[in-house]
Amino acid sequence: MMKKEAFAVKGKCRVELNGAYPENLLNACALNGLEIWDMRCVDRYRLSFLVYENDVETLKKLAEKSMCDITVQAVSGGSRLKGFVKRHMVLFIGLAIVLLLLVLSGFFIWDMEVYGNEKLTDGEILRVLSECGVDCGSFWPGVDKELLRSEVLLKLPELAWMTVNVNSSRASVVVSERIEKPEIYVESESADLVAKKTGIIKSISALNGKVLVTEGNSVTEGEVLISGLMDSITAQPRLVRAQGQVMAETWYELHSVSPGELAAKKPASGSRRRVALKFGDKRLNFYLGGRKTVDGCDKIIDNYIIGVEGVFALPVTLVVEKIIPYRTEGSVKPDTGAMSQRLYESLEKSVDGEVLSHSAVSGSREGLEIVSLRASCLENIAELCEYKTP
Amino acid sequence: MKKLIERVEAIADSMELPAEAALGELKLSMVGQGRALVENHRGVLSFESSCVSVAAKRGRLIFRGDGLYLAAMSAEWLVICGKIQVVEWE
Repeated sequence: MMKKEAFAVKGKCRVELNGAYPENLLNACALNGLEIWDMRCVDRYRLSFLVYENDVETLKKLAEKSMCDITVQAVSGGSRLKGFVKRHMVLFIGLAIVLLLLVLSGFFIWDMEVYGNEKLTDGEILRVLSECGVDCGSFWPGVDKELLRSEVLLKLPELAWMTVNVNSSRASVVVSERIEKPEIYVESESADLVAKKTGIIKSISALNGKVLVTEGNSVTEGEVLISGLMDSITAQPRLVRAQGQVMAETWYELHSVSPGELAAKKPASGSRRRVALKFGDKRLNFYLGGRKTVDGCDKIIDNYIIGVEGVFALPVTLVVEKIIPYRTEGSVKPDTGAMSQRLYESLEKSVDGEVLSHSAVSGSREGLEIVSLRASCLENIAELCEYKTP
Repeated sequence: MKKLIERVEAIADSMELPAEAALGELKLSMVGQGRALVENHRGVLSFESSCVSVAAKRGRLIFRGDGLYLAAMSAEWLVICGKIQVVEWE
């Protein structure tokens, strides 16, 4: 393989040697440091072999001394390659500049991605990183990762750890969010369990404290269910922390209001595309009237970062905006089924138990569509209420 | 002179030095039937596609076969390729 490259750079000549004793010239070549390749016997007095292009002159002199004739049959690489490079100098300089820019652009961040975040959004993390000096176009070898981590963790207390891994010009921001500290209470602190909602008690499961209600009792919000003040036959009443679960049937009534008539959105003809190029923070629009606000249109923006996914990214982003006009016509009634479904979903989230039954009714009043959801639930209504210490 | 050479050979032998390095003896390495590397040669005596004769410090080495050619040659070594059938010392 290396021989091929050496021939391409230095140039090779296929030479035919004719003489009474061609072996003498071979030995003379070897003694004078001329390298000979692929020597084949044409006949008893003729040999054919390869030499480097710049060795031909020396070979000719040696051939004269050895009384041999030399014929150059073919030349390739070397001076021809140099000639080709000279003729296409502009092309090669352009290629070299592109390669240089590619190498240099690898020292800057042109694409950033955030991994491992659930509570914080990508935007929040990237904004803080930008404040700390790491943004698209930043010179990443100059970034002190330890310092950056400290600064970001100070600004985002929700994060427990973070790092920025730069691969070529792509920065991967890996974060680990802090796990919230569970509520810690002191066992000795006394408290009652009170009702957080009005309802009818269905079952009581007391672990600590004095039960003040029985199954079938109706309780109102704030009423004590299990007391932390426990009587004792032999001693003074003592204060404990009431613990337990009180399941009760509760009722909910939720409402959702929407305008009685909504304008229907229908696609209109005349959708168009607009193209722009972003070089780092600078944008070059290939269209006119970019500052006009576009009403009555949906705009879909696609950003294509130029580069190879996971390998490198160039500081050039192709922005394609698709503008789809729409027209509003007629009127449609709001979807009451969807409204009641959303009410039911929000109820399920707020209840600490299960929904036993529910019913939804809808009606119009004063140009508004009102959906009401009534539900009966079975849930734990016990809530801690600590004694206030004087 | 002959005695001196013999003594040098004996010393090199006793010191377990490789003969090709200490005495400039010809070294032949073959890879299968198709390739032979000859080191410390003293020149090519004759070259044909059926027979290649290489001079050594003492005697000469003859390769016989079919389609023999010199793949590369320098002052210290040469590579003979082709179908080598016989290697002879003379």
